Amino acid sequence: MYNDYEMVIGLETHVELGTKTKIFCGCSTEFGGEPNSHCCPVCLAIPGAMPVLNEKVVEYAVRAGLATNCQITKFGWQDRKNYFYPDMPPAYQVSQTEEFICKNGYVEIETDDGTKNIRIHEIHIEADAGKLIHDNLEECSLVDLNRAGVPLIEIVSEPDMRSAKEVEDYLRNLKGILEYTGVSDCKMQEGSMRADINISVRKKGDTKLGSKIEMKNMNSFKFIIKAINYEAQRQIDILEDGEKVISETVKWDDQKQKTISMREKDSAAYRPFPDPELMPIVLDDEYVESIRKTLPELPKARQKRYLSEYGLPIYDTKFITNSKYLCSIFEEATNVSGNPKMVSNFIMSDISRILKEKEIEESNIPFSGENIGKLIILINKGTISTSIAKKVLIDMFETAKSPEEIIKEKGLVQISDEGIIKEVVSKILSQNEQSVLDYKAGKDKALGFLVGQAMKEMKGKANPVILNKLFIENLKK
Amino acid sequence: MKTVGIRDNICIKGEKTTCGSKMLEKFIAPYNATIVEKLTSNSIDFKKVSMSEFGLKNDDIQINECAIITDLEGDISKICIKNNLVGIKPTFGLVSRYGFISSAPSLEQVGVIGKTVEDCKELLNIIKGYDKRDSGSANIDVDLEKKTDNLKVGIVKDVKNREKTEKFNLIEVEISNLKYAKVIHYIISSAEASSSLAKYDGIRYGYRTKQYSNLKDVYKNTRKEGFEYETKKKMIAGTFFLDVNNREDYYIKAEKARTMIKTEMNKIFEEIDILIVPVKDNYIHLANLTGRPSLTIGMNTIIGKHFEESKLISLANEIQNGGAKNV
Repeated sequence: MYNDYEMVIGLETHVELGTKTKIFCGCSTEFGGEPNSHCCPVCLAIPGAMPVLNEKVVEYAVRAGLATNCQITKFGWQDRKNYFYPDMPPAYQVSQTEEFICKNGYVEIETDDGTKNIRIHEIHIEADAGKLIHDNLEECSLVDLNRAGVPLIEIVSEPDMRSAKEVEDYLRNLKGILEYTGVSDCKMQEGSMRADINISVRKKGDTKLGSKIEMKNMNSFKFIIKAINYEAQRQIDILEDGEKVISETVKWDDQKQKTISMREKDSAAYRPFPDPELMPIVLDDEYVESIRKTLPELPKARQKRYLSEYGLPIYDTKFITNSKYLCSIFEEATNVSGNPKMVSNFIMSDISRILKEKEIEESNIPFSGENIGKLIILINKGTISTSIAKKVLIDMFETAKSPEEIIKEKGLVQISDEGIIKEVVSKILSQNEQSVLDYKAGKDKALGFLVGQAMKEMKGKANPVILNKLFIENLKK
Repeated sequence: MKTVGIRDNICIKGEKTTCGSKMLEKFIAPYNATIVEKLTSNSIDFKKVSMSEFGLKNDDIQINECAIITDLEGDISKICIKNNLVGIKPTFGLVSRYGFISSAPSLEQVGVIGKTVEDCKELLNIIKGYDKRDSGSANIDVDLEKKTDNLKVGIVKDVKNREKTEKFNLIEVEISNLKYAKVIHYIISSAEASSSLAKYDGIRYGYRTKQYSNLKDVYKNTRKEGFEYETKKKMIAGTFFLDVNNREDYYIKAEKARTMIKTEMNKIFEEIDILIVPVKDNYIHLANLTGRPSLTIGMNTIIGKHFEESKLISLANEIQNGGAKNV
């Protein structure tokens, strides 16, 4: 049943720009702060106060557009989307509904069938709304307008994605690219990057789009994958029953492990029209080129460099260059340790696994590349074994300490003293006569068992190479 | 200069700025409009002049001295011919709108009224100038004292009162798109009002109804009780014109027609410097639709090219002094 159908998914990703001040006034965009302390007549929509567009917002939007292969609009403007809600002081959101600042770009993802372009329909600038905090005790809603007027770009994709994996890859790649441009810190959990996911299903081969469901404000990769797979199945089930899918907005309820229909805000049309208090945004080629020059080395170019400079396999370079934070860890660690492949392995396996498990963003990795480099040196010197190193890494995630400090504190230094190890080997051999006989009878597995026992006895600190060597020597006797 | 009247839709810090509306009856502006700051730094006293709600009804106010009056639809012209005063509605962008509570920002301008042309010039000189807090403010130096000879003056046939202008060499002009001006103005100003007046919702400041049990009630009843009939009618009309089903036929068409009028006026002004028009429907809408400056003296209005207020002042002086100079 499932195989007859395909998912058709498009994303609208909202990204808070990291400008110091808001889109139309000089108020601070800093996260947190006393409620309503980053406000002024303009963002509070006090009568007579007027908006003035923050030039940095335009610059950042153009950066994002250039980094995603978009065309930059030379004559654009901003529109008012009118609706009443307490978190939107002017009773309209200033956005762009026609001449978007960037158009027709794409983000590459890797699929089993090769590279695929997820097309970007547009990137437009808009003002964020404030926050409503619902106080259950007092049965009222508290309005905090610190966020009202914080600048956003909205990146609208075409419905080119066909699976939860493609959505995850697109979003990770987009996040990585935007982090490179420096226009946003893209912290999903803090809300500076969130995605509205539009999903519908249809029979494979159909060209017409099905009724779409919108899942709003998703900011966790785990939930995104679960919600997409749940929704797709739910829609397929409906169609298979001969019913129609009703277009609506939903949210993912992780407690109930399902999507729940949301009470719609007044979904009457926004009656958009050009904002008469703002002037058109007119950009020339010179301006656009001057911004292009300030773009850093983007992922693709960096991949090429890593291939030649570090001799890493293509898979490794693609993995690491996806995030500028992983790149800086990689480069620092390689500088210190001189071993790019070991660093890369660490990043792709243990570090990434822990990031995913604990849902930590790459930008929040609590240790430096330097410390990873030091960790690798310690392994190569024989001071600790690889398996001990993995334990040290977990500690590094939890404390701010260097690997040397952790090893010292926990006494994890590898024991390579043959005298000490010999004693343990003798002890284990004498306690496990059957295993000795098994080994001599040709059962190699018995050696592994004996080594394991000795390792346990030495709390994992034995130098595995020496341990193995001594066992084999002794068993030969 | 004596005390200058300021229309009550211009913010004076610490004072009530009501826009003639129950919505803002008790609203005390927390900041000064830019033009108020300029008056203060020129040591000019001012006092508030009352108005109809957001200026949407014909104001029946007595003005007999210098005043700063906002102009949406020939407000200044009408006050001038009624009270035998002179008035100037400046070019869009000459005077800062920061602190001026407007219902239709692309049309409404801050202008001046006085007993003589000189009064107007003096007052306009003080309040004009670039203001970075207003996105539409023009960063252009305009010299109001500039004298120009040999002005080419056009006149439309509907000007009945020609006695003060007989001695000028007048060029007869026809504006073929004239009849659309009032309707275009109505559609655009209503659309903008439906949006610009939406912020009066009883949430953050201003009047709030006492009849509510949920959020929708707050909005509905506050706006029902706080606004007058004329204003509500205007906002409903604007909502209609912007509605997705009507937008193309009304709002978009009106903006296209506005461009048509701008284009035609530009063509007309290739041959003339100033155009004399009567204070009548359609004519009173031209200056606001096109952003051009206009000056009202006697029973007529003279319209000029953008930022050429000095030419209007020159001609007006001629008219005022019964100048014998042939133009």
